[in-house]
Amino acid sequence: MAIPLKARPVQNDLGIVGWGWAGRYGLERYLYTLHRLTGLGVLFYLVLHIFATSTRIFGEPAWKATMGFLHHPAFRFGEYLVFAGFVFHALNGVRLIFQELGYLLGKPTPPVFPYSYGLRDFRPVAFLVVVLAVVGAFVAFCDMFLV
Amino acid sequence: MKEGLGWFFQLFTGLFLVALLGVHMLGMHMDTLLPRFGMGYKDPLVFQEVLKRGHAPLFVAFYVVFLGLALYHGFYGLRAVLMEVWASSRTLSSINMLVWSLGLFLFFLGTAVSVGFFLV
Repeated sequence: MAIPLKARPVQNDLGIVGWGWAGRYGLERYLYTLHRLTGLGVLFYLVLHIFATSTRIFGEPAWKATMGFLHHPAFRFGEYLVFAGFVFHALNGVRLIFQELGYLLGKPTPPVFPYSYGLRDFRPVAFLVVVLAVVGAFVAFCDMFLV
Repeated sequence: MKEGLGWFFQLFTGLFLVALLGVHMLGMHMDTLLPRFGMGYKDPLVFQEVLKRGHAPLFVAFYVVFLGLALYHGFYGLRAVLMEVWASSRTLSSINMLVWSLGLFLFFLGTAVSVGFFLV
């Protein structure tokens, strides 16, 4: 009996929920989700940053008032989150660019058991990204809150 | 714009932003540790420092290029997310219009402020 072919590819109906869980995700998939979240966070900050820094055109009093407002601990913590998010996004982005160009993927091999899994072969690179991002976030935390 | 070219620019701007945004973040947002090692700015947000940087042609050029690259990279990323969440041929043109109009508006605002501040 012939196997019925699907009329069209299955759509990704999970949407944003699928970013969190849709089966057995590996570390790289969660890095992808975090990459998107940090990217959206940094973009949101960039938009606010453009408006906030634009107040310099109105002179020193307007600038001082804006900076005074943004000195609130909540904004300072937000700035820290943006810094930590940027560090992760940059490091993971470099990893993704290498992959896009064909590096960090492993060589194609015949599908013979036990199967070779290109991403898993380069998992230490993904771990390195996580470790460096944590170190960067820690240094930023020391700079902004402890020193 | 062709999708392949748009994606190529996304990678290209991403690489540049690692360097440019890295320098910006370290210089402007980590103003406690770096000055102890003789790097970065001591008080980058004091108005006199802002004034000094805002009247340096190289800084203004850096800011405008940096702004363009950051906005392209950010809004192309937002477009990719929106296209995944609301994927249909009907929404694509609306998403394109939204990201282009917002991106261009912010680019012109940031550029006008930088150039205006440089000239006053």
